Amino acid sequence: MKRKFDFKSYSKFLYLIFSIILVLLGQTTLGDRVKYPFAYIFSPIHVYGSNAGKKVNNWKEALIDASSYITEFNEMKEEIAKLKVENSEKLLDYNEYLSLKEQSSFLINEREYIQAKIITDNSQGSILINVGKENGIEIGDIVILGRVYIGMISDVSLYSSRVRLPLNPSSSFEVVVLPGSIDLNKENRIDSLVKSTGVVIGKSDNILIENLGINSDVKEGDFVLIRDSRVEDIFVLGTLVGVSNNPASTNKSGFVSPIFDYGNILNVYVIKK
Amino acid sequence: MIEVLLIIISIFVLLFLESFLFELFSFSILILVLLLLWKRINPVVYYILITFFAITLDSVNHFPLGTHVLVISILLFVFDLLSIVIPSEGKLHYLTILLSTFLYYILLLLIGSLLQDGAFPKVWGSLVNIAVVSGITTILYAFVNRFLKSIQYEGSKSRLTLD
Repeated sequence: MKRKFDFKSYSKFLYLIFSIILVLLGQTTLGDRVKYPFAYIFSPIHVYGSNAGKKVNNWKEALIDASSYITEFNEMKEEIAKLKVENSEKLLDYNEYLSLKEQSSFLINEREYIQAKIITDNSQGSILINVGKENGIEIGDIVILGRVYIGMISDVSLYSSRVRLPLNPSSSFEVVVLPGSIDLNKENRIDSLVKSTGVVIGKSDNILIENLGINSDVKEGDFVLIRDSRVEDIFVLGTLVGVSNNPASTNKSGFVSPIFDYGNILNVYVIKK
Repeated sequence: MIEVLLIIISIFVLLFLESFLFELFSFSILILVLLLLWKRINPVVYYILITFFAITLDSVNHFPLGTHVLVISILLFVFDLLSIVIPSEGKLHYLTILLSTFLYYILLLLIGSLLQDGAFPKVWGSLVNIAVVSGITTILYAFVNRFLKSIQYEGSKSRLTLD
């Protein structure tokens, strides 16, 4: 009697044999050929699914670690604030270093200089500096930067002082005009180089220069130096611009362009009397 | 024809879920489907579908060809052996499911590593994770199994009413 083959009874056994054959096939080069079409068709959906899972997993981990993130975030905020302060301190230190380096080349040994930082500047032709009576500052002290005249102390409190800039309407000085071609750092004897004398008056937004000799050959770009009894020394104020050429006038006038934009200065030096 | 189309769409959906859940919880939906479909559909169709899906997983996960198929065939053997020892009806049946699922993950780890690298993997570190995932799979199996049984019951009841 012929027995009928029962697939259900042997299915697992047959499937095991098939799986072993498939594994052996997978060890040959044929394995890759079999896998290739499957990978070609199904890889995109697998990659998409894995990426979606990874994204959700990241969120899951972020939620689990939420408390640590908040702590870390707060710590980082503190660190950033600390670094900003350190950075700004370093910037100010560097600026001070540059200023000192510049100043050291113009120092006159017998004088005492006090380094000061500009706290505020206003459009009224004056600035506030962070030194005052405590540092021995007095009204009338001269404020310079290198060999450039910045202003004169007009008011002193304990820890700060007001500096009257040449722009200030109440500021006026006697000046001399020198050729713009000379090197002020090398030239010591300037008497023979003076083109003309004059007077400068602050006009809030510019510095007016008057009483220049009508016959003097002053021209734009010439140096304007302060030579006044109240300053007790010669300092550079700026360069001459906008010289008038009116033949009917008895003298020439013009404007002085300051060496520095007073609004951009950070450090200055006060000469103690 | 519509059945073939449904099977193709199901394979794509299953593959997406397998990749997504495996990445998220190291959870394989294949084992759940494998156990749920066992003895519920025609064995020939069952083996064809399982083989097709297993080869797909080998291809996309860069396992040597036949890794998943070998794991499944061993698992089906063990599943039948366990069914002899543990009653297939009642709540104890879920113990068979739990052990089978646990074995599936262990075997996949072992056989995958052996065929790919020729070395035994460190299984101890993954045991807790595998146990948790196996537990979840068993709970899901229980829910889906009950749901399928209730559908079958409702279907047979309506048929009786019509007769």
